[in-house]
Amino acid sequence: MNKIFRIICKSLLILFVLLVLYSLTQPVQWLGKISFYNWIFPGRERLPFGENPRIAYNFSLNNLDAMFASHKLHRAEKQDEDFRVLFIGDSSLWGTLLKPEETLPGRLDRQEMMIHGKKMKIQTYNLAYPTLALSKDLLILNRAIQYQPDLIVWSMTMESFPFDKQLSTALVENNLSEFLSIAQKTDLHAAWLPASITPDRYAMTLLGQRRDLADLIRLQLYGFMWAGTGIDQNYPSEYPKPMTDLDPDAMFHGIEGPYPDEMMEWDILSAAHRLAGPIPILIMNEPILMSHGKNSEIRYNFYYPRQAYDVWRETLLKTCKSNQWPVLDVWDVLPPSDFSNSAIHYDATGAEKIQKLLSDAMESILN
Amino acid sequence: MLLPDILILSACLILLRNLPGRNLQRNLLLILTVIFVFKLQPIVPIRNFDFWFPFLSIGLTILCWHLCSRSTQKKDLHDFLIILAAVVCVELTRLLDIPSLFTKTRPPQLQPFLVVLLLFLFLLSLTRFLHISDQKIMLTSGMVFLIFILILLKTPSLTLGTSRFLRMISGQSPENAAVSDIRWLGVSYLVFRILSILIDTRNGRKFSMLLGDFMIYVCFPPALSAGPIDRYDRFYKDLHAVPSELSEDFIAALERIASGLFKKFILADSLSIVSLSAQNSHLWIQPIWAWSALFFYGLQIYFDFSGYSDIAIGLGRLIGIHLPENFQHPYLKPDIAKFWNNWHMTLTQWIRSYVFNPITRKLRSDKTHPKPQWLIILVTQMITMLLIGLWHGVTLNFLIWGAWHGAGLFLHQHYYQATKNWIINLQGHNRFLYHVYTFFSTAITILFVMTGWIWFVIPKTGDALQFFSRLF
Repeated sequence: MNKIFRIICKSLLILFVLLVLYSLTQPVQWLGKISFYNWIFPGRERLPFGENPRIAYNFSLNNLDAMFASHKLHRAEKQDEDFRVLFIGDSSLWGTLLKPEETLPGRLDRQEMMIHGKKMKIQTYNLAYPTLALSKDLLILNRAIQYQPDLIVWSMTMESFPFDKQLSTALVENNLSEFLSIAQKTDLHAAWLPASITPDRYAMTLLGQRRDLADLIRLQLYGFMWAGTGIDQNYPSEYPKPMTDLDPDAMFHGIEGPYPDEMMEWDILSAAHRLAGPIPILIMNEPILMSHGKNSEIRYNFYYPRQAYDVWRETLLKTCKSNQWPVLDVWDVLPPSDFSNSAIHYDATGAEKIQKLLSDAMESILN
Repeated sequence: MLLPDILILSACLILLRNLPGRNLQRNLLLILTVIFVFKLQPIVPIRNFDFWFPFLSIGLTILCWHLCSRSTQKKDLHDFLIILAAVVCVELTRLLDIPSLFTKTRPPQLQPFLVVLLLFLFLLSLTRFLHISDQKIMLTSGMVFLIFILILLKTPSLTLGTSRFLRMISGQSPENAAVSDIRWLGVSYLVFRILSILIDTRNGRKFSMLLGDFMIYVCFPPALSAGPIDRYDRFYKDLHAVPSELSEDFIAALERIASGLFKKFILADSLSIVSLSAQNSHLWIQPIWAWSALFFYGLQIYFDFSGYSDIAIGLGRLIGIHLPENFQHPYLKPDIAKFWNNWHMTLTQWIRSYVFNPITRKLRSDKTHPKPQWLIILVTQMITMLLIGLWHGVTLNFLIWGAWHGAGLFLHQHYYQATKNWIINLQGHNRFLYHVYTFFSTAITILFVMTGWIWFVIPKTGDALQFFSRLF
């Protein structure tokens, strides 16, 4: 029995030493940079996201290093004749229910375009991420500009603007210190931002990080499935269509009428431009479904009451004009039949229509 | 077995091992066994069947012991009362407000429990009466009944029917019935353990194991869910051997459990993400990925199964029971016969003892119509492998998988007979060439086994054939 006791004591001591070493070295931070993607497996066409990994061969994680290391952009080479366009935005751009080649970035990739009088090959990268918050876009943009883009296309919608959305995405919530440093760098002062973060000791331990570590391993494993099948999301054969008969509700985020500007994060647009510096950003007000069903005189769709959306859209266009930011407003170009499972998710036909408009807009701002 | 179950079981077994007195140890092990039959049972969508399935496991064990045993000791009554008390204790946890103490959901109400218990006691008395009149018929009936249970649980259409029936008697809608409803933990292993005793007794072998010992053997918690299938006489020796100091076994047990946990929860669970499955068999774009997924499946099933066996062997050692080995590097064997001698060894040994050998003897002993040697080999090997296939499920894909290996074993036997002298010569005179030969024969064996898994993993024959085409 004594021998067993000694073995248990020694094991516990070794375990304790390892746990302390782990907490001191914080390996999860640099482990995210190690990736089989772009080496054994091809890089992903879009950032990892998914809620049903066993079917989608993709899942959501919060390690930005690992997410970018898994993207094909991470090891993409840029030739002289290449014109690199990075796309940021939400699920409509990421391409829910669309195959990578059906998304906007997928359709524009490898196209030739006259840019400043020179024929160049467009090299597009989809860095959209399926949550609605401008803060999340800024976080991704901060990483994206390290990859020498020539143009950034930022697809957005009103739902990403309210203050209460900004900290609601897991990606920002779990990378808050990085976001705070971006806010400091871009002189972004927001009421919803905490002044500082109190370090969570537990989150620095192996136990606290076990999920993050498991996610890193899972991301590599699902890389095999991505490489072998080319699938990175669940494509159900049937899905619910977006509502066209709506409630007689004129409220947006609990407020009736125009949503107050001071409760929306307009400053992130300026912060993003400061962050991008000389790299042009083309803002795209993404298409929304305009229903013609019940109460469609009050609401455009599930997300937006008409009045609030119209006022927001006007403000967006005014802001872009006053700051001389290029903008493409395609909010109403798609019929309801071009939407898939949500009032902001367009299908392949819709993407094809937008692609033409976007291609023209890009050409006009680049010449 | 889930990780918390393994930890609780380890702690209980260590505590038991350190208790003074063999009797106390053995009685507590009996109680632990009965309780763990309930505790390990996974949740079942049919109301209360996470209680009734373990109850049936215990009931079947007692009934079969009753049919076989010649033990007349008072201790048997004592064991019976211990088992009954443990079952009643599990049932009475219904009155406590502790969720998932011994069963995943609340045990059934007292009235149905008492009715079923009385029915069981009546059945027990009835078998006693019939047993005296004609034991051989009773033993045969027992065997037929157990095989019927296996067929019922392994044939999808029958399982679905069973689920519908059970749902109906539980007051649930039979429309929601599914094959996966019938999750009776360890029933395949339990049936094989009991069958071996019924067959041996029927063949005239004296069986005088105590009821408690028999219960511990059949339902031994570490080996309940995934084997190994031990021999009762060997198990009995270990159970009654004077235990050595725990420290001798402790390190070996820990090493084995750790190795099993690593294989099962790290390697197998990770490989399950990337391995071939019925769902992804049609998705592979290029042959290289399809081959990789197939090999990953082969490794996954090995690590999963041998991991569980390691855990079971390790846990067994904690209480001084040396369970037999189940896997010995099967993928490193140079031919299919050696592969099967080292893959799920206890199942193959069981089938060899109770199917292969009797059939071979029967075919060879037929002097009036002597059969050629090759036919005897073909028939016995085919029957053996088909049975192993059907043990996994009474479906066409498992039948083909069994036939695949039966044909492989038959062809290998012929090849071996033809090249035996050449190989022995090579082994003696040219070691280098012999090693090259062994390397290639191992590679071919792996390839054969791996491609065989396609039948195992993909239930639809058409899908399996389509996957074969994706490999090239």
